[in-house]
Amino acid sequence: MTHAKNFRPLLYAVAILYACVSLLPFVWSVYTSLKPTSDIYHTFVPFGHLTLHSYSDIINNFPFLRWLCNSVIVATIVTIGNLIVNTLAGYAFARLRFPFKGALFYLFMAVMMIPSQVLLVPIYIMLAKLGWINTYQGLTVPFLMNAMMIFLARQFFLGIPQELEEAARMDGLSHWGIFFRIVLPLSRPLMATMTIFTFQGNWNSFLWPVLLTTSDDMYTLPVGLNSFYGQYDAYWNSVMAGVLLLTLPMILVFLVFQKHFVKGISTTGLK
Amino acid sequence: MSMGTSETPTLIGRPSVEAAGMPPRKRKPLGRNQKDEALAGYLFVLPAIASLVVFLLGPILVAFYISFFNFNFLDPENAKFVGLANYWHLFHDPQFLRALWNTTLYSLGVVPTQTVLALFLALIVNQIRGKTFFRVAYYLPQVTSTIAVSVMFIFIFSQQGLLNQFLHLFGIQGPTYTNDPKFALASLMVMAIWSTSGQFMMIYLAGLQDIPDEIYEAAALDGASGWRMLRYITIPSLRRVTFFVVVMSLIGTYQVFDQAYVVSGGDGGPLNSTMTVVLDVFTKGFKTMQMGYASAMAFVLFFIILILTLIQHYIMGREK
Amino acid sequence: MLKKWMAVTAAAVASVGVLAGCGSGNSGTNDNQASGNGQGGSVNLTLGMWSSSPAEKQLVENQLKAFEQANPNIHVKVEVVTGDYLQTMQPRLASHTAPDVFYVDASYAPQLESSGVLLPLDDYIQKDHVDIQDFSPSLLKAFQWQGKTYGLPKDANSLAIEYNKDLLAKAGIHTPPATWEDFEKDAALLKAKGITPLSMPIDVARYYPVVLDWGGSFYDANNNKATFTDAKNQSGLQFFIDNFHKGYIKTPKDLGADWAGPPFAQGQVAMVAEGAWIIPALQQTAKGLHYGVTDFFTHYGKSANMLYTVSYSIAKSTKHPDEAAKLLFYLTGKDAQKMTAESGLAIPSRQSEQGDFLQKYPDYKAFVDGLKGGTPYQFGTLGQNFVDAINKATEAGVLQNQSAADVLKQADQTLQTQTQ
Repeated sequence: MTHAKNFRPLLYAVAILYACVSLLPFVWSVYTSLKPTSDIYHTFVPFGHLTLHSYSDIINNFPFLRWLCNSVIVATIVTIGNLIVNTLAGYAFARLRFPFKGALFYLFMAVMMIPSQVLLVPIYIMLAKLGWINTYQGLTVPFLMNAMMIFLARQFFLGIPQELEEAARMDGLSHWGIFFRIVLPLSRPLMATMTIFTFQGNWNSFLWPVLLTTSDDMYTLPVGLNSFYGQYDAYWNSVMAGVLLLTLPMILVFLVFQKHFVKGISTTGLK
Repeated sequence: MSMGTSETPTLIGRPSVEAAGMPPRKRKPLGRNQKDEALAGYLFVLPAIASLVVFLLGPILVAFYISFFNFNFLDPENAKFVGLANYWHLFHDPQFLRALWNTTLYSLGVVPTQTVLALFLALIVNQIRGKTFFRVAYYLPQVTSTIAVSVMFIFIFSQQGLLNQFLHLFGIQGPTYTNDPKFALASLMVMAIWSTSGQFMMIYLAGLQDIPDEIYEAAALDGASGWRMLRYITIPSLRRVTFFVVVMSLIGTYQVFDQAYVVSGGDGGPLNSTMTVVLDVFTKGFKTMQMGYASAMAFVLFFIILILTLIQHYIMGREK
Repeated sequence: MLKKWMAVTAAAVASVGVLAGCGSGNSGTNDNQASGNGQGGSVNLTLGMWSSSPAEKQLVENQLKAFEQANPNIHVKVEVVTGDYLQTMQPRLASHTAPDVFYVDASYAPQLESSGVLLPLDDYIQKDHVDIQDFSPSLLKAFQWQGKTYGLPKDANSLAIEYNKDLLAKAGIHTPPATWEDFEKDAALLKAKGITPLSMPIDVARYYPVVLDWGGSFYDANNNKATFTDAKNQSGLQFFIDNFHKGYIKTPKDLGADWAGPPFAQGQVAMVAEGAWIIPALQQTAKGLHYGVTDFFTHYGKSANMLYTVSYSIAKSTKHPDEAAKLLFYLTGKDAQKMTAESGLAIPSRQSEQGDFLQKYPDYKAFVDGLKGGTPYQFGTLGQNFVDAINKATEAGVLQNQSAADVLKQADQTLQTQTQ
């Protein structure tokens, strides 16, 4: 793109400035996590005093690997499930014609608008009756659909030029064939976005896992790490070390999937 | 080459119109049976519907039902039917009205700023070198847990915090922002904008990948300036994405809870200036065991969000 | 299309494989309600708690080990709630999957007791001849509702004044103030030196003793009613508010923290009024600090205090009430209390163990003394609505310069709008 050439230096200045604003707290978290407990209330701690003790403390004294493992399993299953369920629904809402489509779509939208706090107890009672408390199915199956992601998928599918699908239809492809062979390959940025969001949402999710797990061998990472906040003695070095240990795998996932934010064939294919 | 543009539909996000039986597209029937398409449609949405019906519909109905009762989940036998009294009471409850006002202000402050900032960041990241670095940098606040973010902001906004030390250079003595009724809500807004713009940036970024380069090339040949391309090509092409961003931001801001909870220590203080509707719902539902009343609050909030979304829908669909 | 599905299925299967390899295998799928009968007549119980530090969990686990040794047919599994405790317990109680025995804080105990989710203990107490007279009476009373006992206190805490010796010395003060009147004099000296005299949150949980010392009372326990508008409440509250305006008291938030511990540890404030929970925090984070602990300020011989106590209670839905009661009585009995005293984590609720505790931890004298004149932090079933109403009104009083009379009137009105 050529139209921004004159603004280039300014653009970089703004980009770097905002990067500082958004990175500063992260840097601060890293710094805090390296402070020894006796110095956590000191704003500045000499470099020589910094220690990895908070990290080794977490990894050695808590079933950290077990929690990590639980989190990976749960987030992976939920993400795969969501990708399937939400893209299918999103595509139907964007492209296919069927009775009550609008009403159904608004039903999904409506579900997002009800604060989950009032649904918590009824959902919990239901899952308890199913015997799903403290199980992997309890942590995954109820979360395989996400209305926000259906909405996102729909908006993106609406944006893909329809000509390819029409051509495919003339070639005699079924709706399933069109979706899996034509549409999905065109949707890499969408799938990457959904993967990142769903994985991250589940990875950081706290409210449900904390309710649904009752023994520490079933804790997910955020639930386990939350036990560091005492009521009165929040040792910020441990807390921040926990937060960073939680964040790092997510950054990894982000790095892997953000690569797919490239021009899809959706446009180049039409040249 | 013009195919991409001619497709820009005027019915952005208007399923209701299609459902009302209007021909949705200029698509010609291609010999495929309409029944076939309807069947495929239902099969495609079946998993989502199943999940919705099994896990959410029942609880939603329960919540709606108990909003007409004086209800405590610990003592359901003694629930007392009160008709619309919970809803009626809400409009005489100064705390709820204050919470609604705060939440509306918060939404008004956050939604536009966040949307513009997200688009701006996406445009920047889309054009410069070091894409990966900037993407990660801008997305990091979103990844960091809300609690960590809130703690950090309390630190930045405290009396001797970073912000005041900076202002001190200019001879200004600032307050403890999160503990000052005049600034507490604004602090929350800044925090929200900072921490969630990254997510919407990613959505815009994904959206930008779907705008064909050819359009820009053609416009450049016609001598269009960068600004005009942004105004007449990029922004209109992103309208569906913008609708999504605005609606989600609206839903998210009207349901703000985490930041308000952490910053105020759960009480919505100082002087109810950070009391939000969902924080009020949480307090009534889980601290004072007035779940029926909390449910009534939740459904009033639901109704408000629904109306705002429909208005949004109407405006964005009508434009052009 | 088939290929894609196979890939997806393969991925799912693979992750299930990881699942199986994820550690111990007994991943809690079967023992989620560990209250079933085991083999050979043995009984499984669960114990629900929060944990304010790893040491607290360790203490409970040690106590349980001792219990299981004495009762080999009963096995106890600990469940530590790491989220919001009430938010977690409400759905669990509602779905009858609550732990058999669990912590209940006095502040919301009446709400649970009155809704019938807790098991009345009176019959079991009689049957097992539990010596309940040994508990500090006000602590025991905190878990009684309409003549029945729903829990026994496991430990207790009260307020004391922690003071920074160096900062007081800077203002020429060598013994910490004992009365509120002394405090005002010393505060003037400290303020003149640019030192913040006292940090306290605007929270009825901390300042209520002032109201009581001045002869007021916000709550009528006999009728479960708020009595904010009683004229006797004004002078004490006014005194508290005035001290903010004089600059003698600042909130922890004003000092950039969410409780008074950090500013005290950093030497930002001369005195704070906290419970014994501050001691371990100071040991960890303020190694060089010269501080002392003295009794909470009195007012013309009146020495009201606030008691914070937690009980062990039994869920009414338990399938093994006899064994659960046995566990409860053990955990609140002398042996377990001795272990609590040894650990120094909390003050034993049994008077017979408090002497031993003081011998080992003489620094805690002020906190133990505080138990005697203390009122439990508890306002019947009005609970959080009561606390929110008065706290918000008091905050307005301090920030917007309102009189105590206006504050109390506002609190009364707010409480009425928040309860139906």
